[in-house]
Parts: sequence; C-alpha cells; structure tokens
Amino acid sequence: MNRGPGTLDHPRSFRTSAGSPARARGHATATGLTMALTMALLVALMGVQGCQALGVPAAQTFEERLAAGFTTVAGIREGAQIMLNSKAERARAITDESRRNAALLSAADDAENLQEQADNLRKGLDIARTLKDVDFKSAESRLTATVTALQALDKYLKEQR
Amino acid sequence: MNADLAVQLLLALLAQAGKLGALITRSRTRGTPITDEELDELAGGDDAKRASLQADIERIRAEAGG
Repeated sequence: MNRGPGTLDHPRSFRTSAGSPARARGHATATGLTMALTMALLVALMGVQGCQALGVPAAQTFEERLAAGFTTVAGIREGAQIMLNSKAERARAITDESRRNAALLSAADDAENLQEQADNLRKGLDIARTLKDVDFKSAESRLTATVTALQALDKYLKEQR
Repeated sequence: MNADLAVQLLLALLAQAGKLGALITRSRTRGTPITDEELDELAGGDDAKRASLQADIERIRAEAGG
C-alpha cells in the first residue's frame, strides 16, 4: 500500500482479509480491527471533543489538536499491539499446525493494516506541523483533513456494527 | 472479546486520555501553547510504539513461518 506523503485513505479502502481466499481469517481480522480502531477513536473523540468525566478538555488550538492527533495515532498502535498479542496467544492454543500458522499470520496482517493506517495519519500530522510556520492556512487544512479522516473512520466503524 | 482484553484496552485508553488531558491542562494553566518540545515528546512516544508494534508483527510472522 504505497502512498504519497500525507495522503489519507478513504475508510472504504480499508483493507481486511475478509474477502481473501483465507476466509477463516476474515471475521476475526475484521473484529480485531474494529475493536482496536474503536479504542483509538474513543481517544480521538476525547481529544478533539473533550471528555469532562475523564478530565480531558476539548482540544481547541492548533497545537492542542495536533497533540490530540499524535495521541490518537499512538492509541491506534497500542490498541493494535494489545489485539495482536491477544490473538497470537489464542492462536498458539490451536493444535493443527497449518491452522495455527494461518491464525498467527492473520493476527500479524491485521496489526500491519492498523500500522499502515496509523502511519498515514501520522504523515498528515507531521505535514500539518511542518506547514504551520510556513503557511498556517494550509497547515490548518491538513490538520482538519486528518481529523476529518478520523471522523470518517468513526462513521465506517458504526456502519460495520 | 474476553474480559481481560477489554480491561487492557480500557486501561490503555485511560492512560492515553489522561496524558493528553494533563498536557492540555498544563498548557492552559501556564497560559502558553503546547511547546515544540512537548509535541516532539508525543511524536517520539508514537515512534516508540510504532517500533514496538512492528517488532511484535515480525516476531509473530517468523513464528508462523511467514
């Protein structure tokens, strides 16, 4: 999935293995992806919109929104790692070697997918940050696009439920 | 999703939210924007998480013989 710097995939291009020949991997992959992204999006929504119950004020300034973005990206990776290790642990209990290996590879594919999505978002944030001192309007646009991508992912996830 | 996993995810979520909240509150309390150094720290934290996740992905791929 090569992309130009800072490009953000539309959520519809989100890759899962549900349609691949290894259909047995599909459902678990999509579910894991959904859970990890849901967690990341909760962080994102708390960062962008705030969450008084948890003491997280809504991000308002450019820097605060950037900070919320970096936190979100890190949250995606952390959620992906937790899911990966949990699925790998379950896979190791499978006695049939080929099924066990397929389950392990599925878990790795799922995590790799999330890693790529996080990389995309991170590029958008880095570009927005670099642009800030050069062209604030463009920087603001880039940051808004990144936040919009997060909101689009949220919509995508709701449609999957 | 089993309960242990749900708890792990929730704790990770709370930790991330707590760090972000503290950073924004600190910035507002002192009356200046979040600094470049603070943003660098967040970016560095993401870099570390990226490396850690990638290492796990590769380890599990190798374990599966992939």
